[in-house]
Amino acid sequence: MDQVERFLRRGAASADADARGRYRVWAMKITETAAGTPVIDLTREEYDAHLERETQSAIGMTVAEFTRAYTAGELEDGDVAVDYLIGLLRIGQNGHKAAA
Amino acid sequence: MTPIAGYPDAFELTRVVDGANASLELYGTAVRLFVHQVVVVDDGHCRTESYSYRLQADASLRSWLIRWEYVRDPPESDYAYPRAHVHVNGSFPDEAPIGRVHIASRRVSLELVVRNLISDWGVKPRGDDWEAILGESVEGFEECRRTD
Repeated sequence: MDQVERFLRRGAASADADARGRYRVWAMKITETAAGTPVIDLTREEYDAHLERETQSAIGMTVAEFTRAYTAGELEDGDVAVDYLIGLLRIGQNGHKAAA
Repeated sequence: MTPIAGYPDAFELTRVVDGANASLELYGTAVRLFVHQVVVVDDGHCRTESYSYRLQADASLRSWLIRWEYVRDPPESDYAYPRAHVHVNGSFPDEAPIGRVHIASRRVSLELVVRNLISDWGVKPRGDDWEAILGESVEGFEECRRTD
């Protein structure tokens, strides 16, 4: 667990820099399931920052830009980044819209 | 596993490296597998909201070779593609790219993808009992499958 925690906290430190202060390392909690799967608890702000980083990395847009462009039909279904972000941002799932 | 903030019954399952979602290295081969699932606990049952299993030549998203994807609900009202589908990064005989074609499939278990990696992609299992392990694991998937 110590190794996992150090590993993940190093990631959080990187994320903190990317989010220019919106990400709070100390708010993140890491536990484990009974089977040993690490569980990373993020605050809403941390999770939103995570989504922003993933979206920026995958397609070079913010979540808001991606959501607007996708719903406007400007992005092609079938593109690897678009399909990944549809799932990640939960677009259309149970009426839950993206985090933007 | 990351609980999705704001939705206490929803969880993101993937590998995280340095704060970013990342692909998995595989034994015996240089190809990698990216696994991402969103699952929701609903009335005591765990249902998959979406999955993306992506075979990649390296760590980068754009190096993908095959993708198995699923979304439970269509992302848009006019979404015409099968909710479970496969993409293959290749071309037709006339060299037209095939990568953005949604090849219809049933919902695919991660165990089946792993089996395919072993049978066709040179991935080496860590033990001789891998078929039994996968078989036992996939039984739960088949029992709990509610939709294709």
